Amino acid sequence: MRLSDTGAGRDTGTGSHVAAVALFAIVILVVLFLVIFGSSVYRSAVAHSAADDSLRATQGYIDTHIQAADAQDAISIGEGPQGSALVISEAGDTATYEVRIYAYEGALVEEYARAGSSYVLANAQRITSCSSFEVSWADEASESHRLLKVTTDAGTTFIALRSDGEVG
Amino acid sequence: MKRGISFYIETVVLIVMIVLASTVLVQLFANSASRSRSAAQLMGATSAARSAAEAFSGTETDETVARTLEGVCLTSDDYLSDVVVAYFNDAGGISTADEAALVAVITSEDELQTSGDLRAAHIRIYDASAFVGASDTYQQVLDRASTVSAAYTLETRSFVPMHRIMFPMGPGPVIPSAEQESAMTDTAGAMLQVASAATITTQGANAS
Repeated sequence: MRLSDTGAGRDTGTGSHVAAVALFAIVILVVLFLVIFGSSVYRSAVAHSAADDSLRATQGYIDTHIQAADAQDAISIGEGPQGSALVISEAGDTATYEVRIYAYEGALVEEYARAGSSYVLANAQRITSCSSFEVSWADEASESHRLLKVTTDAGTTFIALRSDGEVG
Repeated sequence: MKRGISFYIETVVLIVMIVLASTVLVQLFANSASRSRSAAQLMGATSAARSAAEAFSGTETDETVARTLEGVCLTSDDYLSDVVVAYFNDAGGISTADEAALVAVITSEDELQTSGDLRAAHIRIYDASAFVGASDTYQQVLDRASTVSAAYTLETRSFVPMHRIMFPMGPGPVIPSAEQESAMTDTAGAMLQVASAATITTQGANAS
């Protein structure tokens, strides 16, 4: 006589069946928990990475431009279409040209134009996403400016001009 | 009966393996999250230190560094040394003390020379939570800074020419343009001619 044919055998079979289903449920729950936890960690890491990239892109771009063009009276502040604009002058053989960096429609843009000409937004190239960009002199009371104050989405930072210190 | 026991043993083994595997995975995820937070904090600390270093390079004194960074300049009891405490957000931007995620502690040394002041700054960035209630006095700040490990440290140097020490608000030495220089040379030449003529006249008068 087989065990499953008896009542005890049927009980053991039912118990095994319940245990198997419970085990399956446990496995599913653990996998679900791991997937949710892992995805939240991944989401957080990606958000941090994106914020870092944005910070580096904006600050690094402005820093590099200023350090490369840092000469006497080469850096000035202009008026862009949506706030202030960083103006970097570059003397050519026949005329002076300007690189203008300013915020426009949620992005940091760069425009290369002849000095004194009006701002032409169609000529501006998009650099990176940046909803706010303000630039001013940190030492406004001083007659010779040496410290730029740049405010972006990430906050306010400073950039010192070395040309003044060298030339006097 | 034997089959039932072996089933339960297999179940227990399976559960133990699931627990072990999930523990390892959770540890991996937690480690990843921790590293991500550390990387974000390091990025903010680097940005804050760079900003503090730029402010140091663009100013002349500890007071002006503190004013620029919207922080405080604390002086020692003997009035011989200062420490600047500035507050930054997690992205390295200027912040208030209440909302700060990072604290910058800046100490500097001056080496006076005939041509100016060679300033060296030691910039240390800390987690703001370590400085809660410990940034009121010079000694408190230095004590806390010596016991807590910094998230980022930066050394920087700056030279302040003598004219900026003498006239911090400008205008500094005037560099004449080519036309002004030419005019000055002409004027100096004319003055020299007048002076030499006067000397000749005086000598002539003495001789006679």
